[in-house]
Amino acid sequence: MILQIILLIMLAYVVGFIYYGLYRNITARIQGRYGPTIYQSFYDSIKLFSKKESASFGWMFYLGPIIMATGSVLTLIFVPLFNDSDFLRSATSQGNLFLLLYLMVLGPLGNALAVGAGGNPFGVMGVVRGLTRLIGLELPFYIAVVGLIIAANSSDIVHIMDLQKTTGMNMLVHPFLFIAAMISMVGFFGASPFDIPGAPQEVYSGPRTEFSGKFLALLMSQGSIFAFAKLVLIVDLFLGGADSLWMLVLKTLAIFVTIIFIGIVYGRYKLEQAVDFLMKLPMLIGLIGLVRIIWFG
Amino acid sequence: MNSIFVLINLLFIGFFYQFGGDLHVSVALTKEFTFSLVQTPLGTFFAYLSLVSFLLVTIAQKSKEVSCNYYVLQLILNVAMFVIVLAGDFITFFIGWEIMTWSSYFIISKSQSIDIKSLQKYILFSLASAFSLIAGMVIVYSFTNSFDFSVISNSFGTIPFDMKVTIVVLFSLSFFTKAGVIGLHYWVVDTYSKAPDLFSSILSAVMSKMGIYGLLLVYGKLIGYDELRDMFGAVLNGTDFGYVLAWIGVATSIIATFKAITQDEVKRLLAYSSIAQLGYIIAVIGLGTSFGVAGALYHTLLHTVIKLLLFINVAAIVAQTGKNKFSELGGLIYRTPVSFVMLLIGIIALAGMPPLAGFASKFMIYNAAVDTKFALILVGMLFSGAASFLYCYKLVYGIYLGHPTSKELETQKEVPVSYLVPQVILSIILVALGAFPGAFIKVINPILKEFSLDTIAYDSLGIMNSAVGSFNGLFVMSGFATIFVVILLLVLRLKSKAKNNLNRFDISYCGEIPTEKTSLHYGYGFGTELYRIKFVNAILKRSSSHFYEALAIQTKKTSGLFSRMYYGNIHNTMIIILLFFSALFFIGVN
Repeated sequence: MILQIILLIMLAYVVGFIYYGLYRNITARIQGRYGPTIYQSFYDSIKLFSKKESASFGWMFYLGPIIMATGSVLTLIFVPLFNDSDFLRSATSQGNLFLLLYLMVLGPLGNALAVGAGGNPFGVMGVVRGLTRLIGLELPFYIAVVGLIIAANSSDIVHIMDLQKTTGMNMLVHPFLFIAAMISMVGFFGASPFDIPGAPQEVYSGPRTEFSGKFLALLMSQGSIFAFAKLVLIVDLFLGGADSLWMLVLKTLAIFVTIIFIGIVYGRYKLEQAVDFLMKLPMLIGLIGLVRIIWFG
Repeated sequence: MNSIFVLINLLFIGFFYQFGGDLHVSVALTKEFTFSLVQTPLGTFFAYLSLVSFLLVTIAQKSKEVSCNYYVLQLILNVAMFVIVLAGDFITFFIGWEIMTWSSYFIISKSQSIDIKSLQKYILFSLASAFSLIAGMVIVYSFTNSFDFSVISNSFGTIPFDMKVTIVVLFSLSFFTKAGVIGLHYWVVDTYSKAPDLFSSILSAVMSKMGIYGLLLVYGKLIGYDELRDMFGAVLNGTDFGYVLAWIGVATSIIATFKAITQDEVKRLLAYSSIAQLGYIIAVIGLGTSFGVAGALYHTLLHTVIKLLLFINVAAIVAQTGKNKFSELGGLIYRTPVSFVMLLIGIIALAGMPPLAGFASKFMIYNAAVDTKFALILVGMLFSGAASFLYCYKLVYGIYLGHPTSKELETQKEVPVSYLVPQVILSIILVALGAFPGAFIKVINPILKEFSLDTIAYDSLGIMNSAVGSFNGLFVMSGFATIFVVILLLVLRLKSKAKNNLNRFDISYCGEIPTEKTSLHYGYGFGTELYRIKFVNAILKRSSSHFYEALAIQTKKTSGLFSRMYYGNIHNTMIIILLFFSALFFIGVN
C-alpha cells in the first residue's frame, strides 16, 4: 500500500502541476498574452526548493506548511481513484465522505496557524477572509453532498460511485446538486469571482504573504496535490468515477477547464458580495435538488 | 488545602468505583416520599463525567486564590450533581437540582468581576427552570401517584394526551434553560464570562450537561421514544417531535456560532461556543434512534472534555496576564508554548477535525441525521460546523499568535504546572479517543439497552460504526502521524535552511517598516466582516436581551397598575376585588 500511496502522490503532483501550468497558459491566451510554458510551475517549484535560505518566524511557522501538506496527502489517500480497481481501495474503505469533508479543512488550519505565527496582519486578514468565505462556499457544496448521501443512504464514496453504474451519472440524475457543487468548486479552486482571500491588490497575496523558499515550494506542491484530490472527488461523486487513467484525466480536465472559464469571465467579488451571492442563487439551486431527493426521490 | 480537596475528590471517585456497580439506596423521608439513589448505566456515565471534571478543576485550583468555603461549596455542588444523576425518583432529583442551583449561585457570587444584574439573571433563570421542573413533576404525580421513575415510566401511557404534551413542554423548558437553548440562553453568557475563571469550566462542561441528562432521562426513560412517536406522529424516517427539536438545536447552534465569532472577551466566546455545541446535542437528542442517542452522549462526553480543557487554559492565561480580551492579548506562543499546544489540541477537537476525537462525535451526529433523512438539519449542522472554524481560529490566534499588544506580554512566563496537569490529561483523552473512537461504543451500548434501542455494532477499538458508513480512527491517526513525520523529515533534509533569527517586525508591510507603535495584531478586527454579510448581520443584530428587557418593562408596568389600584383609592380597589370574585363565582357556577 505504501508503494501505491507514493505512486498516487507522484501522479497527483505531476497532474496537478501540469493543470496549474495549463491554467496559467489558458488564462494568458484568453487575455491576449503568450503566457508561460506549461512546465513553468515545475521550474518554479524546483527553484524554490533549492533556495539557500527561507525566512521562518519560529516553529509554528515551520510546522504549518507541513500540516497543510499532510492534510492534502491524507485527503488524497481517502479519495478513490478508479471504478472497480483495487488501487488503494483498502485505504479508502477506512474512511467516508464526512471524514473527507473534514480532512479537507485540516490543511487550511495548518496554513492559518503558520500565517498567524508569521504575524503579518495582511496574511491573517487573508485567512479570516478565507474562513468567512468558507461559510458561504461550503453551504451549496454541503447541500450537494448531503443530497448525494441521502440519495445513496450511505456516506461511503465507493458506494456512491457504484450506484452511478446503474442510475447513470449523478451529474445527470441530480443536475441541481451538480450545479450547486460546481459553483462552490470555483471558489475552492480560488478562482474568480470568489478569490478575495489571496487578492494581491488588496491584501498582498493574503495567506501566502510571508512564505518564501522551501515553505512556498511546499505550499505550491501541496496545492497541486490538493487540487487533484478535489477534482477526482468531483469526478467520483458526480461524473461516475473513471475506469482508466485516461478517462480520469479527461474528466478532471473537463471539470478544471470549466472552472477556469468561469473564473476568467468574472471579476472579483467583495467578501460580503461573495457570501451573499452564495447564500442566494447557488443555495436555492441546491435546495431544489435536495427537496427533489427527499420528497420525490 | 488544595491537596486535601483533591484527595477528597479522589476518594469520592474511588468509593464510587469500588462500591458502585449496583448502588441502591433508599431512605424514607416522610410516609410517601423517599430519598433514593439507583445506579443506571446512564447515571453512571454522567456521574463519572462530573466526578472526574471536578477532580481536574480542583487540581488546577490554587488555594491561595480562594477561601476554604469556596472548596466546600464546590464539594457540595459535586455531591448535588451526583445525587441528580443517580436519583431514583423525582423528589431526590429535585433536592439535588435545588442544592446545585444554590451552591453554584454562591460560588458565582464570589467572583471578582460579577455584578448584581448577572447574578439576578442566573438565579431567576435557575428558579424558572426549577419551577417548570416542579410543575411537570406535580402533574406527573397527580396522574401516576408516584414520584418513582420506574413507576412513572410504566404508567405514563395512562395520562391523557393534553397533559402528556404539557408535561413534555414543561420538562423540556426546564432542561433547555439549563442547557442554554437559544432564547433561554439569556443568563448563560453573562454567567459563564463573569463567574470565577476556573468555575466557568464547571458551568460549561458539567452543569449544562445536567440539562442534557434531564432530557435523556425524560425523553428516553420516563416517556420513552416510542411513546413520543405515538404522541406526535412521524415525518420522513424520524418523528415529528425529533424534527422540531432538531430545528431548535440547529437554530441554537447556528445563531450562537455567529455570536461567538464577534465576541471580544475570551470567555464570552467560549460561552457562546458552549451554547452552539449543546445545540448539536439538542438536535439529535429527540430523534429517538440509536445513533441519535449515541451521538448526543458522545458529544456530551467530548464537549465536557474540550470545554474543561479550553476554560482551564483560558483561566490560566487570564490569571497569568490579567487580561481577558482578544484585543489585549496576542503573541504568547513562544512565551507559553505548552499552553499553546494544549489550546491547539482543544480547538482542533472542538472544530471536529479528524485526527482528534472531535470528529467521532460529529460523525455520529451527522449519521443520525442521515439515518432519519433529515437533510436540511444535516446541512444546517454542517454549516454551523464550517462557521465554527472561525471562532476556533479566533481563539488560538487572538491569544497565542500574531503580535503581543502590550509590553508586559513579551515577558510572560509559562503558566503554573497546576494548570497544565489537568490540561495534559484532557488532551491525552482527546488524542486517545481520536485513535480509538470505537472505545466509546462499549460505554454507549448498555445505555442504549436501557432505552430499549438497538445497540451499535462494535468491531474493534479503532473503528466507529454507524448506519450509513464507518471510519477507522486508528488508520486516520497513524496515517496523519506517518505522513506528517515523513514530510517533516524531507523538509528538514533539504539543503535550504530556515532562517530563524527573524525579528517579529521583519514582515512585508506595504513597503513600510512597522515599529512598536504600529498595531499589528488582528485580534479586535476579527469577525467584523460578518456584519457586512446580510444574512449574518440579520442574526447578529437581533438579541434575546431586547425581548427580556421589554418583558421586564411590561412586568414593571403591570405591577405598577396593580399598585395604583391598591394605593390610589380604596373604594375602587374594593369594587374591583368584589367584581373579580363575583366573576369567578359565576364562572364556577356555570
